[in-house]
Amino acid sequence: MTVDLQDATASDLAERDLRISRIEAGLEALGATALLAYGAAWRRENVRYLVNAQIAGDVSFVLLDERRSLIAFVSRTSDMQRVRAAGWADEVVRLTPGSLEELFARLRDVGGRKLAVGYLELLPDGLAARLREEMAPRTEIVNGSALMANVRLKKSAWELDRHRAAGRICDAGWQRFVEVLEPGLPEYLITAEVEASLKAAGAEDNFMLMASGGDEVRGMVPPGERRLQNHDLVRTELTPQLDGYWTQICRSAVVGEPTDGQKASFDLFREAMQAGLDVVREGVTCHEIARAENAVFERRGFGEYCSSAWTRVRGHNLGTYLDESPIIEGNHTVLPAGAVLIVHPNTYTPLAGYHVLGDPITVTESGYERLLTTEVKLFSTKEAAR
Amino acid sequence: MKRGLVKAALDIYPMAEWSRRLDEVQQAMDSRGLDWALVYGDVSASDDISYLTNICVYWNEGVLAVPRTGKPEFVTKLSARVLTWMKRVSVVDSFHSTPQLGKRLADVVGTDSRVAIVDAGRWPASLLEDTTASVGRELERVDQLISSLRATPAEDEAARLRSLGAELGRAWEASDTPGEVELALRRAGCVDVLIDDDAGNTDISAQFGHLWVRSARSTTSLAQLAKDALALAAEGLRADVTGPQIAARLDEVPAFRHSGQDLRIHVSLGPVVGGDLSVAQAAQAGSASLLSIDVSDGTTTARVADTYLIADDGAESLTGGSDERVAAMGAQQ
Repeated sequence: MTVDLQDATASDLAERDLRISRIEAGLEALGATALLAYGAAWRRENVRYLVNAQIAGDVSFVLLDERRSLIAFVSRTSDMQRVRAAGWADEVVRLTPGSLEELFARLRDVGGRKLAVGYLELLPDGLAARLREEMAPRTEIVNGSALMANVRLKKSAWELDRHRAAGRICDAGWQRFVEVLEPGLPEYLITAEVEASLKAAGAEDNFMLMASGGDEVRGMVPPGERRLQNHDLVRTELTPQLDGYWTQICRSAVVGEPTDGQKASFDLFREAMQAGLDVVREGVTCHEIARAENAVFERRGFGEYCSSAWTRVRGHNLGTYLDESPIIEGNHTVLPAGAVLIVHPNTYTPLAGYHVLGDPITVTESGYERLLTTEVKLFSTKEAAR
Repeated sequence: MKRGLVKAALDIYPMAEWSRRLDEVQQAMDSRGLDWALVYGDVSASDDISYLTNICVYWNEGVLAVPRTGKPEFVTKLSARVLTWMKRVSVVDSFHSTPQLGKRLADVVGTDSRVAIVDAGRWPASLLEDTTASVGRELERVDQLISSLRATPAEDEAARLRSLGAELGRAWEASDTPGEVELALRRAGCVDVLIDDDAGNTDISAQFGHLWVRSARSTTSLAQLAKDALALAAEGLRADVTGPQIAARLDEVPAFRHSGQDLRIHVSLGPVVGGDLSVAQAAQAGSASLLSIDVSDGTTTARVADTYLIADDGAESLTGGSDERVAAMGAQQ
């Protein structure tokens, strides 16, 4: 099925061409002439990046061939319709149950000696074996995952517009979160209400972890049946996806009046987040941001809580996937202007248990631009009720 | 990413039921002479792991290592700080957090044991290679060790499926938008809700534990035709019937015959979730299956689907949402 590219706007097509050019540069560096992006059911970001359409099916692929054509392979009629409507793919092929012959037939036409496969490492065993068999001995298969991660790291103006729009619904989602908090409410109903408000605002998807309680809380997870109590610190990481782009807010809110420990905890996390933000500019590394955040904890006597026993990352990049290159010490990825990331020094301390605070930003030449307008403060239902 | 209610294992089933499930798998392993069975799951497909343990792989990946005797261990890329919660909601005591799954699995299974990869075709090839290299010997392959056991829900599971189906039916009837359906399902305690909404067709899947129901509704100009086709197709649904056989039955009806016309009707019968590309197989007595109909005239497509519990002499719609059945479900609760 051939797609009418006139359906896509001029700016869309310019964005598509920009991406193809970036990928081609990456392919050249690898000595490859074509890219096959694999979309596992839980890692569709490369496919999304190439076709600009939401994919719901179990399996998807996009082939960028040496003629700069994008051919999408999808497993559902609904995916076909969305990919066609987006107008980025030159052709959309419906994969047939029980067979991937259509895919392999196209791959056999690919010239050149190297095929880069985005998410080669996630290809199911049977499929990977068949791919090698089909391409050997003419074409070597190489991993294109790093190439795609690198291409996606720097956002264009077109992408930043979408990140800003996602930021607006993220702000609204947090507002809804605070509105619904009240003693006696079970955790999972908070998620249900916030999720509904995000979807009503146009979110395609949302990832949301939370935790409620006191200083015994060690991390955030999916919600349970625990009911909120006065003085609970309710933490969440809200991560809506709008028009393909994920953004995130990390905040904590108190049911009722904050305790002194919760206030002290917030002060610590605000200082650490700001320290991370203060070093952001074009050319900063993920390591340097993490170091700046961790230095605050060390200075205040909480350095041990920056280890992997207590925290996972000190932030991460965002884009068509919600958890891109991590902000951790040892990650020396250089962030270009246009990179989008969240700086969040989330971890446990004895002050008030697990605490979360973070804002998404985009890197600029001399600093950063915040992508949210939500205040950086310790929220409380008492204050909201005033 | 799963973000709905995760209930504790013992709030869903008594320990005896979790032990029964494990015993059944371990007996199957014993009969094959296996010391360990390794079960892979990621956030998009981890129902085997959930069935045995109530572990919710809400994000990322992990492997459940099931020994021939004793309790399973879970090796995951999820960070260590969430393992306390996983322990609290599951029936597993031993967890390992590591980015190097293969290496840690090798430590768990030790030397000189017979190890099987369950459903190897679904494992990421790189993880399978890494695990094989780390274990340092050839691994056996066993398909459907757990999925075959859970394919036919036990009586209490069937009751839960009916309740879940009734929730989905009620949500459809009481809501004007897919978002409202989702809200109703999340309020009802579903751990996951998947919505595929496009061009007048809405396909919703709802999960509780390892159990799923799914239905699709259409508002396109071909919706009534698709609905009629689904109703007729469902009349022929019973054990040992295949999708192509149902399609042939539809083809005998003039209104649904597509030869010589622009209308195309596609019938699909398969697993409730994860079956986009699965090969057509006969419906199994006692199992839950998704029957779906796509009607297309080349420009418009209508898609309707429901989840059915298959019996020898027919099939019970779990998501049809008739008022009588929904009322009956409500009375049961």
